[in-house]
Amino acid sequence: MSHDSSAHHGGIGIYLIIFSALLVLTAVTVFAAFVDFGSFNTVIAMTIAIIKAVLVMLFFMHLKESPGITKLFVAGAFVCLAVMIGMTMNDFATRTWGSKVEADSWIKRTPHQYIETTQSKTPSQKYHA
Amino acid sequence: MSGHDLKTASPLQHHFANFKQQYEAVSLAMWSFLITEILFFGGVFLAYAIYREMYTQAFAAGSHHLSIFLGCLNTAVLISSSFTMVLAVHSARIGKKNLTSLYLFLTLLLGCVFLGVKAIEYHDKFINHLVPNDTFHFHGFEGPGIRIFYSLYFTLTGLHALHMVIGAVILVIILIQNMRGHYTSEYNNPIDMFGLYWHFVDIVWIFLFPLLYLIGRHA
Repeated sequence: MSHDSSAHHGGIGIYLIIFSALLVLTAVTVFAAFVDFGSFNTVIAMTIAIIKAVLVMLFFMHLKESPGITKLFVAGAFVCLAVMIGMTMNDFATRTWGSKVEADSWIKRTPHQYIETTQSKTPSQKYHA
Repeated sequence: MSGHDLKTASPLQHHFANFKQQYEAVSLAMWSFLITEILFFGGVFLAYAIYREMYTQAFAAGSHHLSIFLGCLNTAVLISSSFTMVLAVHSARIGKKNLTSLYLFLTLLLGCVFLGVKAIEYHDKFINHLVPNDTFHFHGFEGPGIRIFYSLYFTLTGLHALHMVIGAVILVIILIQNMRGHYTSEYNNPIDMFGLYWHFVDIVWIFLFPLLYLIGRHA
């Protein structure tokens, strides 16, 4: 192993550490799924997934030692992804705010109640009920 | 190709000053492609997020039918294949041709194991009428959400598996080229760029696994 390339591109040691970390985090996410954290279960699962993805990108995909322009590209992609998911979910969650029929809005209902209404009303009636 | 061809056609394109510049340009281009892939999968993940908000209980019920053992196994297999892939890239960079071939072969093998396990899971869905077609029937939960869950399950895992199949084909080509001596410690961009693609596919699975297999397990 040439001294230069191991110093420049990361060695087998660091790959082994990241590999172990990814396996441990997989085990953690499975165990966490069986514990009741209420609505935080999804938050915990997604946080662990994001940590794993960042580890893969930084070390396996060598983003850590990539030029700044590459890092900027990737960061930009995730900003776009966050806008797409964040803004859409924001709209979805606040669609009924300020509406007089808030109690009747489908988003607040349980799936069973929702199914009953979908069977009796068309989608447009549901939104404007 | 023979050694003669390699001498006449340098792997360094004439418009690049050196191998480092060529590598950085190629790598930026590969990342640009992966960014389109991130947003492509992002759209399906967004559809998943909205329908899961609408049909929380149906998604939990659907998720309970999936085998957590096979999901875990496939996650471990895919993470291991990412590990052997990064070792292949590392070996190529230090010019160890045979070691690179070995790691590329192991990556291919693990990729095939993943697809094999996926095929077993799909087979189970087909015989249990969980494919969202005319014969779809889920025991224990009624309503439209359960069908949507399985539609998204097949869309997400199907697109992911398609990427794996394409990756496996490219991997075979790269493995043959490496065995023929196309790559040196100076020039191994195709191995490196394929590594980026393979790790990306791994990242998609890292998100798919908790979102599909681990919903509402505590209930």
